[in-house]
Amino acid sequence: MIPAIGLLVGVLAGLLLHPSVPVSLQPYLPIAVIAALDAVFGGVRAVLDGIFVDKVFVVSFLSNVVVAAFIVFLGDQLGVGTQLSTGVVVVLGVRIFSNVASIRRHLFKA
Amino acid sequence: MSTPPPDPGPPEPGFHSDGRRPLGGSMSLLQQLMDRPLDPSYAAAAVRREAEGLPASTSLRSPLVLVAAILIGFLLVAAAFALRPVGTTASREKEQLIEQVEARQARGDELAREVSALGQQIQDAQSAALSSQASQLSAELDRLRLLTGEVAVTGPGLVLTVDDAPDARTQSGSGDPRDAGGFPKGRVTSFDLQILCNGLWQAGAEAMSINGQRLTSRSSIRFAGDAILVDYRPLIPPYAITAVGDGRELQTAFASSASGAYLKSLGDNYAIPSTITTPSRVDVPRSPSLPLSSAVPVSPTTGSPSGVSTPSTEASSS
Repeated sequence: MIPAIGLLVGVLAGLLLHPSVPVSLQPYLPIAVIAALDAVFGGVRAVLDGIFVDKVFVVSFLSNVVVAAFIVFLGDQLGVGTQLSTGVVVVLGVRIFSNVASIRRHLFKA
Repeated sequence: MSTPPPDPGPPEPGFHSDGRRPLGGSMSLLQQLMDRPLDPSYAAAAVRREAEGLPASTSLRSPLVLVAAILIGFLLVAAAFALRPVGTTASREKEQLIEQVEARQARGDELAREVSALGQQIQDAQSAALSSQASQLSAELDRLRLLTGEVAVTGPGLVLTVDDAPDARTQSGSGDPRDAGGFPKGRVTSFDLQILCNGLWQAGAEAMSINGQRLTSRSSIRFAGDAILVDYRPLIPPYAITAVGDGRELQTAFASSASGAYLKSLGDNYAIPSTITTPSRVDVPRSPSLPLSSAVPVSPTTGSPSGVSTPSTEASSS
């Protein structure tokens, strides 16, 4: 319940504050969002598995976002930004779908 | 996804014990991704906590989780706001083009203003130079300037507005000789405007403009595709011909001329609407394109003491 409320508070704050992201940071946003989603679904699955640990969740979220941003940055510097981004999206996407499938098994037994 | 979750044990060997290559062994990376999507750290932390005698799972009511949740929500909205208006590549390119067009148009307007300001300076300097020598020459110059379109003219006049026939936009060409090229016959043609303008000149107009484009002795009214060009600038209907002169007299003289009859026949035969008003004050701008095309030095007989060093110029208006 608490995380859902926190998420809602964050969304409302974003809607009210209309944060303007500097242009230099904008390339990292999509990857950062996907990394955050991966951490969230991993956390939800851990809750359902009964092995959720808050510290692991926060660390995995932060490290996911940071590493994803770093990979995009490195890719841009090396001239293969698009390919690296695609790689990150594929890996994280597969993980997200697997986690969602596991969550689905827990919730709907299907 | 019907496979039971495998135990997060040691990585499986490349081959089964009987030496058979495992199914999809070459895709072990993908398989690992699919089979163990959860961070192993969760399981590791749970094992460690159980060893310490704590429950495997912490409560969700932790400030860390709350902060992280707020951060994630904020990140989602920030990303949505930052990335949403970007649009597709095509629309972005279109926007860039529109920006460029607007910037160039603004630059063009700026330059046109500069040109007319400089032209005004030149005229001031000319009249200052001439007034000290020959007032008659100065008056003659003013008159010629007015007639050739080098200065803006304001005064009583007549405004003749013609527009395409209401159904001309949708009308397709028929067998009429007037629209031999598939041209809707209800459209105003450059030929119509030429006849009307010549009629107004004949009726005694001193200066004329169409939709703000000054007509000079060197102006052209032409067709390019579907648009009427005056001095190579496209006009947008309705076409308002502004003429400076005595409005009443202009109107009577125009109505009784051949051009007046032509205008009437346009309305009768092709439903081209036209209105004539005679306001007490009309503005006709100066022509932006009147380059100096010929200049002759003042002959010694006109008695200019400094005629050789400062030749006066005379715009030819052939």
